[in-house]
Amino acid sequence: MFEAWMIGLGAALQPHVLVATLIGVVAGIIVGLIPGFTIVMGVVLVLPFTFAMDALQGIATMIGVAVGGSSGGLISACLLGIPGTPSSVATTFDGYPMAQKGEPGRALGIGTIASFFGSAIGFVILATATPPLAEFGLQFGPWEFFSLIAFALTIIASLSGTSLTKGLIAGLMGMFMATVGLDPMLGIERYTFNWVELQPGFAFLTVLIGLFAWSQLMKDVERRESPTYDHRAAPNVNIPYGRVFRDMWNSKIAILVASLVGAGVGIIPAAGGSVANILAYDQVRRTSRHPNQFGKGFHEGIVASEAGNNATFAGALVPMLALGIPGDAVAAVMIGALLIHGLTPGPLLMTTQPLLAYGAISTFLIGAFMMVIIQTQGMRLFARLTLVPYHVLVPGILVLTAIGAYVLNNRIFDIWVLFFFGLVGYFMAKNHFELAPFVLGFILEPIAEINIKRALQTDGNLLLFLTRPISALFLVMAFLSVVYYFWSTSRDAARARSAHPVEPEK
Amino acid sequence: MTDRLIGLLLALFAAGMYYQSFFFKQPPFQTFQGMGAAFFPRGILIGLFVLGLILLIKGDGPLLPRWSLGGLRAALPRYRGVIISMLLFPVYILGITLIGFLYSTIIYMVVMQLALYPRRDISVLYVFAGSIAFSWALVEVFRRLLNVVLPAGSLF
Repeated sequence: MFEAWMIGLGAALQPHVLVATLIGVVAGIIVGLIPGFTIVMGVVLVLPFTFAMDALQGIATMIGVAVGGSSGGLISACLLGIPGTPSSVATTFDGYPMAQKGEPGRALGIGTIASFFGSAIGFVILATATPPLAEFGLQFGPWEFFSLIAFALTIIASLSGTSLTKGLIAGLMGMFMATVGLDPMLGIERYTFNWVELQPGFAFLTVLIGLFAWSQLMKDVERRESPTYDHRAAPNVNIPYGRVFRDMWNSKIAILVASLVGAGVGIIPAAGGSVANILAYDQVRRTSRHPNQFGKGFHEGIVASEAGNNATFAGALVPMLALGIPGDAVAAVMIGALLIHGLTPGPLLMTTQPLLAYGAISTFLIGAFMMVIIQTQGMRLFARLTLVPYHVLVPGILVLTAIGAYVLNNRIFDIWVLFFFGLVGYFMAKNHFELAPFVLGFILEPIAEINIKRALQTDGNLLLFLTRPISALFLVMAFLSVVYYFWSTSRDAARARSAHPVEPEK
Repeated sequence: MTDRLIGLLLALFAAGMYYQSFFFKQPPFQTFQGMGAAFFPRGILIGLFVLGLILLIKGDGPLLPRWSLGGLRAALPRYRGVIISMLLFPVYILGITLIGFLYSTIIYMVVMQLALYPRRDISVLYVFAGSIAFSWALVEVFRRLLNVVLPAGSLF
């Protein structure tokens, strides 16, 4: 394993990979700081540019975007009170009040340094958890893979959004859309309606760009929360490093707690940064000696959110690299990128492609170092970028989505598919259907279908799904996640009733 | 759109696609235990049908949404940008097919910025200049750095 680490680290330190990581980090910070643009959108938009790169370089770029984006969101969260990304929502609770008190530089400095420590702790978890999990995954047969996917889909459906029914619908619709095209084992056309263009099925990246980028942009256009361009000087964002490092020292427990919560959440499929930063904030507040100061510009609040959301991505990479199951939507995009480069994510990746696997893990830490340097040194420029208006950004981003769809197969048809899934994504968002279950269902369908068919062809006994221990464990966890959903829903309803009792009519 | 209407449409969609699965071509050999091409999609569609019925029965609101002309007029300003974006994008795609990526992107960028800008004092010159620069830069980056030639259009 030491040799594999050296190979991976050496590859990650190659100049062309370092440059790719650097570009990704800068792009990620910019995407992250613009309110309404998500990290997934940033990763999806850089993806077409990675087609001409080798696999590690492409992955390094996307990891850079994710690391930069996880941290960039704090800039608009602190300066504007608007989270740059969903994973920076909790940063607004204390970052904005601190900036309003005349300490924007301190808020930004605390957030940036906390992001770095979150990434560093996340890296340790990523590096130590991934290889043994991959070895564990080598024991999986088709029964275990199918049960794991069933567990992943139920977790996604129960954790994302407020309706289990809608979450399951989204997941199954994603799986259904993946069946369009040729049967993976028999090569028979399904739901192509004699359109030759549909024989290969819907391209995963086109679906992803349409769902996430298009629907998010339409919501932003609808909301029109863009700050209008202001010719006045950007706020003073000089970082008082001495004060910031004292704050970091006083928050060392908060950093550890938030990072562990974030990484743990990241490992669970679909529960990404948007959940992690709020959970981490809540946990740190509960364990803090000053819980009453949270929400009023307290440094531990910023630390909790930023350390948590940066560690989340490291956690999401663990199942992606070890098992081929994405921990969040960004990891799902990376799986698509690996497939485009002819690599199959899964337990064998760590042993057959150590350069890529360990190189990707090393890139995460390298990206964190780049992020903290670039963000602290370039804070004045980044602060100005928060004022770029939407009427300029939205058309440009839409053009980039069209290019992204086109360059995949050099077909105009794919741009139409992009538009179709953009409408689907917007419809889903307006009717409170979560997008993450749809995407994960779309990715996991071929794996689920192939494995259940293999399992039944090997031995038609369905009870094997329950008698094989690992498969049974996943199915039990899937069942428990559904039970937990109903239990937490009824608990929340009971709390709401006791908080607002309905008086009997006289 | 109400949840109950979505549930009904979903159930109908699932039923329709299930029926469509009977028209899949059969392989020239016997498939194992009948696990042909339709096996997995049918399983998914059964799940969708059941969930659609659950949403129809337990969903919020009436089956048919109550839309009024006044309500639609009131909502129009809020959705103006979305409607414009959704109408212009297919036109943009057709433009790429006919006149090529560069010219269609310039026109699209100009029209979208003018349509989405909230105030009337926009500088049209800056919009044109920015759109031309952005579109040309994209074409050059993809052509020279990434070796991807964007479509030139069927009219040229």
